[in-house]
Amino acid sequence: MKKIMNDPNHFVPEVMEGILMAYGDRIKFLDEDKKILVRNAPARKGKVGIVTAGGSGHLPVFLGYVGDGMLDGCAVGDVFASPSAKKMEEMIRYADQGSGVLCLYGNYGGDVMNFEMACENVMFDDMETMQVLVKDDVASRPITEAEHRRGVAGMVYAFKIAGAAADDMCSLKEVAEITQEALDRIRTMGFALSPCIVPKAGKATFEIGEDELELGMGIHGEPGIEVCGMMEADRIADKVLDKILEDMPLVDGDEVSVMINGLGATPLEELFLLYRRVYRRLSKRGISVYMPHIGEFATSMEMAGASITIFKLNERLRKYLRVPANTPFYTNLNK
Amino acid sequence: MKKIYVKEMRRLLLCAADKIIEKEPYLTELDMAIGDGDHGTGMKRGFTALKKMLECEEFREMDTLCKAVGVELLKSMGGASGVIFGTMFLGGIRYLPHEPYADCSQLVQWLSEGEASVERRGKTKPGQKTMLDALMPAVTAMGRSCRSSDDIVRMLQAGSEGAIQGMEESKGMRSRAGRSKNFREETIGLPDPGAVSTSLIFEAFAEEIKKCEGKER
Repeated sequence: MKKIMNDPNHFVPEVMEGILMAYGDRIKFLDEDKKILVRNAPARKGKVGIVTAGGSGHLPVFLGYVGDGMLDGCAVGDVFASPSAKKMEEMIRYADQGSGVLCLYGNYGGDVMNFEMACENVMFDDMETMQVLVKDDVASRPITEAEHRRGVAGMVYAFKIAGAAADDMCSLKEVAEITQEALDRIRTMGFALSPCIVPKAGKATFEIGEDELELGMGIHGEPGIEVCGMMEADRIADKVLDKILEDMPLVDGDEVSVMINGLGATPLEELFLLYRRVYRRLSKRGISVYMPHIGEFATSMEMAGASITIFKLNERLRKYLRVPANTPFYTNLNK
Repeated sequence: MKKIYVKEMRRLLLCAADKIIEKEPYLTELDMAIGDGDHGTGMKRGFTALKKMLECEEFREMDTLCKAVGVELLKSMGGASGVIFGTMFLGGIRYLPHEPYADCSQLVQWLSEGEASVERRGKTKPGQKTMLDALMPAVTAMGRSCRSSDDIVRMLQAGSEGAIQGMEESKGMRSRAGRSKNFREETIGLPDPGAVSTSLIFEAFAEEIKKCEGKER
């Protein structure tokens, strides 16, 4: 096993230190143990706060989206583990500007339990919160069990839309509704070519054969829906896109945004091969692509592979996707 | 022994902390096989913090002590385990007296409400290969013992046996909750790491209470 690190027990705090050294002009930690990351500049009074949380090991998810036009705060857990309810609670209190806080995060057991507890605790002080869960991974459960699906790269679009709606001074209820509307139109599926190594474990928690790829694998290595022999880029793109379109049919005239997301160890070149195929297939059906996102948005340490996200737009969502956002890890000004 | 005093409860908790810390490699190995490998280190982190807190702070009442225990686990552990083990101690806290001691039935009420709170928080029932598969039988066995005798030593012994038996039975289960559910079939044959941790805690309670018996208070 090869991995760039010092003491594995210090992996997350040391990453946090590096991030603060690089972007300390825009972000800061709320606590001494560097687990709650917030914006330096206080949010506008009356703006709905948007916060998230989750385990480490997925940069730029989650903390990379704290900044102008997106998130107000992010609580950071250990690698692949939820942060504690206490940290979330502290973050929610900080993010509240008098109009409530939207907790927007992926559907994973630990995050759900901790956020629910945190929200119950702030409720005693008359603080209003709403929770919207990201469940965009079509491979994680069949459509009949969509409620139990996991949240993956599509959450980046949700962060963008929620942030824009909050900046537009929508109420908490409106921000939650608009974000849910976006999520209802977002579908993602990934595939992996090689596993990832959790620092403290020191070895891969699962294996993928040398000449194999696993379709639908989750971002913590959750088993996918099919292990197949390695194939050409176009065929991979077809397989993933077919599965997404089966779940969310598109028709001639629809407009979508497409995210081709690298999982950590896949070159950008290969992501553009996937995009090329997806674009062609969509164009052939009369579907136009707006603001494609190609790069690393939600990773899984050194996992090789990618995910494809389709976000079906409408007029309002298109506008909110376009509004400028600028965080240490994301901007839509170059898209 | 009809009453357990704060001083003794503290010793029980310290013993549980030592056991969890000592067994971290085993918990990690288990979770590497059927989960994502972080259960052992998370539990160790929480119970190390707990030990430090118990060694530094003074407690006078049963409810203040056990509340501080739950809050410390919640605060220091994170992950799903932090909420779950924190909730086990906190969920039924209102049943513990604001007194320097508690009796059998108060302990049973405390833990059985703790168990119910874990079910609600995790949206899980026993039988899905989780820590509840050790906690539920432990609490049931304690309740049974409490109805026939008011001896705390006997009751905690029953709780330990219940937890161990439940943990053993979790080996045959297929995981349907928590992250290990992603490894469904592969989880059969191994105990649930959370159930192992729970049984370690109850084992420690039973062992340590025996050492308290007959000692001056």
